[in-house]
Amino acid sequence: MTEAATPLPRARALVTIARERSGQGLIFVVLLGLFLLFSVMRPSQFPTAFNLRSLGLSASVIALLAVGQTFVIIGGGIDLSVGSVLVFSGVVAAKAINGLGAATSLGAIVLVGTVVGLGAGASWGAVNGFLAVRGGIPDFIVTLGTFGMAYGLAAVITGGSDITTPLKLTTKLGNGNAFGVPWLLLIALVAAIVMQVVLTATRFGRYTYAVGSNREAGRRVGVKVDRQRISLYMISGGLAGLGGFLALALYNNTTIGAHGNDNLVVIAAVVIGGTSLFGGTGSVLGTIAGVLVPVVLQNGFVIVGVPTFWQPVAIGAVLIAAVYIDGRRRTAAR
Amino acid sequence: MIRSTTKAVAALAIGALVLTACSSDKKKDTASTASSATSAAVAASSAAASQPATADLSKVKVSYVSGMKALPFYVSVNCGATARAKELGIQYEYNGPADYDATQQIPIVNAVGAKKPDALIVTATDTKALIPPLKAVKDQGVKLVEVDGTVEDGSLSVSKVLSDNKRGGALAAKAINDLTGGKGSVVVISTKPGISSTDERGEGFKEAIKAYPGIKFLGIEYNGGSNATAQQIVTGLIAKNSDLSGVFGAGNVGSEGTAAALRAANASGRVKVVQYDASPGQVEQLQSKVLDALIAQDPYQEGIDSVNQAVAAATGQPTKDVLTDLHIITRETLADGSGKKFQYKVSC
Repeated sequence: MTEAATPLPRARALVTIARERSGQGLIFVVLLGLFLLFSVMRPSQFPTAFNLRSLGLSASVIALLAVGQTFVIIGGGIDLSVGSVLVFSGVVAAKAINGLGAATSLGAIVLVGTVVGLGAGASWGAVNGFLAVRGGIPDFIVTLGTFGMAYGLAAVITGGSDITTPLKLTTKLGNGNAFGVPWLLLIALVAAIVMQVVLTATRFGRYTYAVGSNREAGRRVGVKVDRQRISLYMISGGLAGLGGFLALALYNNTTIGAHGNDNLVVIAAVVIGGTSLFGGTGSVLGTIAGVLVPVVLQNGFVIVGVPTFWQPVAIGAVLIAAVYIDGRRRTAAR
Repeated sequence: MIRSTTKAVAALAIGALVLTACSSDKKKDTASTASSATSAAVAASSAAASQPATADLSKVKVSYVSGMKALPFYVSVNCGATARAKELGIQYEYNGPADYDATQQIPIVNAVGAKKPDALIVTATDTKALIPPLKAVKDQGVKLVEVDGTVEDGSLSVSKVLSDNKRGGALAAKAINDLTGGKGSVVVISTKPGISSTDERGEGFKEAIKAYPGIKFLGIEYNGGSNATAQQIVTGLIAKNSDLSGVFGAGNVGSEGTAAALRAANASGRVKVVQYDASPGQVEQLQSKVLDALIAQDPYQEGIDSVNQAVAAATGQPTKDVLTDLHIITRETLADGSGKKFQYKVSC
């Protein structure tokens, strides 16, 4: 019973780690600044209900993937498979939904789609986690492998053509509102808040920081490192699977060919949000800001009228500047 | 610390501001040089166009969101549209995603919609996924003109400017028959399923090839918009079908991959390749015998027609659908000079 002998110092140390390492970055200030800048430049076009709604919809699916990726990266890993897992889960969910028959109620469609999507995604996460942790294969390679496999199997199942899902799913959920807010945005926000609480206020969250910052130390204080790491890949996969179902609702079909770059977009968002690629530090809320900065920039630059070929140049420059400033501030704070 | 942080943010904000300001100016410059370069071509087309130019159109705002911003086809549509916009004196803007991808295009459509132009010219990259965002833009009071790619819901736009894709597919079948002497197996390589333009080309080809009984049709393959995939598909097809005599590339990406596969299999020349579209690279490949015929659309004219329809819609005049013409380009028509003018542009 060595564990029981030192419960207090251990818990305290883990809490301290969690608190220190979830420090919010300046990225929120940058995001707010961009918002104000575009609002001042185009007051009748940028800060409108229509545009804010569009921004929320554009960010919501990627945000889910990024929240899951945050857990994996804080835990010292990486998950390159998310875009394909999203596509695969979407395809499986679409098959399940279309198998229900045309008369099925929206509630049943959403229930089946969510369960199947989450399940399919979490299964890929389990495969990733098991191979990386128990199999000892670098997760970069494992998730690159499953990236190809999930995409390929999705194409096998569909024969390469996108599957269309019921229109009411798109009109009611994908483009529908709840309390004036798009459903998808609401779902992404709830997921982000829940996962932020999990990360900062639960033992699971503290263990996540612990395995990311020092695996051996974590093991010695009694963290079940392997199980913890596998769970992180399952969270990432599960959220990608949920994203797959929500993408069906948003796009009305499986958009098989469209998610090849999602992993880079998502990993960039996580890093912009202040999570270290080396693990051990980071926060979900920072990640949400990291998702929003490029989305707001792209939208704002179109509205302001930056010529289309200059937009990626400008977005890239602002992203680097934002992370540079953030990094400077962190160094100064230490 | 706080002060230095504030400074840094201010610097970033100013940086972004300067960037947007500079690039806006830059855009005006390029627009004016572009239009002077093409003014000769415009003069010819404007004489034929039927838009009344008497009203003051300087307040009319038209935006074009293409399927892929740097693709010569859409660059040519933009060139035609820019030239026509300049001529009519309207405000015109061009945007497009980096890849031919609905998930990238939708945020851009949304952002342009937020600006509430009088009319939005759009090339839908997916027949279904673009319906909700375009509906939302339309509900903002923006008139929609579809060019090259359309959505399934035909009621959204006031005008569709298209080249006759089925006829293009049929022309390709005729070209393949002429080139192969009516023998062997032929395949269509398309981009992705669910894109109206390439789907119709495939369909047109499939119907027309039935008229040539000596040719065996192997079906339609999809390269997902990637040259690497196109190369793999063609490599596999050559291995499997020793009598492969013709490839029709129906999508706008993939001919380089097809060519690479044929070179590697030592089958260039034996397998005839007919490619949709006529970007400068494709014309070059035609000249160097990598390709054997091109089915050229007329994107520049589509740009002109789109702006005409957009302005008509914005000023409350009747609009109509427009079908533009297609042309087969061969090495012979390039040599005698009649084919060169159908080549697409990389800049205005």
